[in-house]
Amino acid sequence: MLQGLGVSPGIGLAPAYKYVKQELIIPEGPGKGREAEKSAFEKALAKIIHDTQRLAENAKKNIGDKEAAIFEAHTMILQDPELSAPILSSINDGDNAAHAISANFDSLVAMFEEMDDAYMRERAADMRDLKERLITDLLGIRFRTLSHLPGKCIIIARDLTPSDTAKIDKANVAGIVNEVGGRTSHTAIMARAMGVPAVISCTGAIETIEEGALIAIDGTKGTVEYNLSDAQIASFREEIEEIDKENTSLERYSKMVSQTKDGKLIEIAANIGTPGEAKHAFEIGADGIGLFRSEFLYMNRDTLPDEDEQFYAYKEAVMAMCGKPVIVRTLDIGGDKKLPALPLPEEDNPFLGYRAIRISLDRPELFKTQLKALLRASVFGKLKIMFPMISSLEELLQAKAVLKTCTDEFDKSGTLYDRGIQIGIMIEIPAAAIQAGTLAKESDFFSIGTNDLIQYTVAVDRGNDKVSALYSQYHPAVLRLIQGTIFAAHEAGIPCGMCGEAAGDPLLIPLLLGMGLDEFSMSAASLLHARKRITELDYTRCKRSVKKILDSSTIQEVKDKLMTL
Amino acid sequence: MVKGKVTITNKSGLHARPASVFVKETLKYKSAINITVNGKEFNAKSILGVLAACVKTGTEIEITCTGEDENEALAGMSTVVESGLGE
Repeated sequence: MLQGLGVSPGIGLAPAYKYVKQELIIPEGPGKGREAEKSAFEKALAKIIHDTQRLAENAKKNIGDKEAAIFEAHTMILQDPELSAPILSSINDGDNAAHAISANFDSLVAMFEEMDDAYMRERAADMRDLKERLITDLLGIRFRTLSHLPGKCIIIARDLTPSDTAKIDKANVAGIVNEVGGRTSHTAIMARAMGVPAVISCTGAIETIEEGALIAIDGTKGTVEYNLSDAQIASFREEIEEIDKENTSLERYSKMVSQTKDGKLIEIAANIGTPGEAKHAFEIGADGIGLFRSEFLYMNRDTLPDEDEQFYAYKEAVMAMCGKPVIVRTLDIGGDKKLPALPLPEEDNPFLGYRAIRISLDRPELFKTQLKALLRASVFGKLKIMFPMISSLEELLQAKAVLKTCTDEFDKSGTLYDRGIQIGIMIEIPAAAIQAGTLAKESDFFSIGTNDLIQYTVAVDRGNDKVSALYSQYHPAVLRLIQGTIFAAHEAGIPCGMCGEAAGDPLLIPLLLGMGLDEFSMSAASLLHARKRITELDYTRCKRSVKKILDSSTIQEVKDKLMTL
Repeated sequence: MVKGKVTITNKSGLHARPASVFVKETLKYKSAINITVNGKEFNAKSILGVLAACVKTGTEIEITCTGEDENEALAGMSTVVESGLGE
């Protein structure tokens, strides 16, 4: 078994299809003569320009504007006379077309590699991609393609490029295994957007796994199994069948209203990490985005994203949801995550340290850039802003004051934004849950972040194996904080949602519903399960059982009682 | 031949997207258009030339236009740079 990082959930069982690019062998000498080589080059160039334009259109339709812009820039480079002139002149001097392309592109690659700008150095990879495509077309080499797969298979690659994934034969991909990459790598994002199980950062996959061998991947656990025994195959088949059966039976819920048997309307929303995921959430019928983590914009890069870049990302998500609400959480990072673009000092106790709203309030310029981008995007749909890690009223007021300076500037400059934009907070620190009544008067909505709320309430780091067993969403103290928060929100006349993992827990949903939770936000994979659960429940009955469950003294007692609902 | 200096003010400098806006503008004119950055001259009608110049935000560049519509070209180029190159 190989262990990687599971980045897109699901089980895949299919033959391995290795997508490995071989070294190109470039011929020497004059080839078929000047005129023939020139026309061969021009034909290949026209073909690749045409293909690239189609990739751009495809990307625009299926992936996003940002990916499309990459291919539009490629097209312009291919059409640049300064690209073709030196190649044609090499051919005139007696070189063959493939060699002329190779030599001239290599000097372009070298030029980009030497630039003192990280962004420009990355363009070297684009030039290599273009060179390879031109030469393979010219020499009539057919690389393995991803656009026509031989049947259901699992793609094993070192790292898929944007041009690879844009062409992928979606109907036949049973899974993707990448040797490199991180959670926010291109492949991970694409796989999630397509709903294909994926394991990345899986070292040795290409060497270990045999071409065509039946393998199984688990996109949640991040495992890749090969040399499967008959028993293993049977068990994976069963698991897939079960998931398939469930998915088919769940599909009808994507078009249903999130309403209990006795008619109470609930919002079932999705948690997303990139704008592309909003499209998928909309397709499966999410009532909104309950949590859009804005951190992806800041990860894997050397420079901070500017206002425009953020604006485009938020706008894309808001537009994808066609008027349904999108709650964007402002930057939520801390000393436990390393961001090259925002170096933070090491801390002994990062979870109790300099993180989230504390950083934003300490660095108003960083915060204002994000808030302005959010405000500008708010005119394209229903965007709401949410502040993470609020522990006191002072912080909330301070954050709102920074927002006010942004809206004042916009009023002066005449920049458009949604004047009714809702501002809410995460309730994830016990202090905030206890003081929810006070905070509710200054908020338009609450969203309970159970992951942090539990860890801070029971003082358990769930990443620590020695104590993680103590971490439980069924802890009576945690449940009381949740109930108190929902109660305080309703007293103040504002809605209360939840965006932690607990919101998608089928066992807990009846209790949360009974407490009056208005919005349940979870990963897209749990969404339809949760909607099914809600439509089968009776709100009035759930409401009646709340007291009985909250009176429990132990975690076990809570669980036992929840089982009966 | 006419010359003029402008400062690139859009945030990312002449990265691919703003560079393509810049190059598209040059193609509207018949004049030859070059830019000089830190003493080196590049063909502004070529996206590769403009990328090769590796212009960061805040850099002053000199635009040189030569041809029958050189005055219009210089004015047009200055305007497109000042407007932030689509960023």
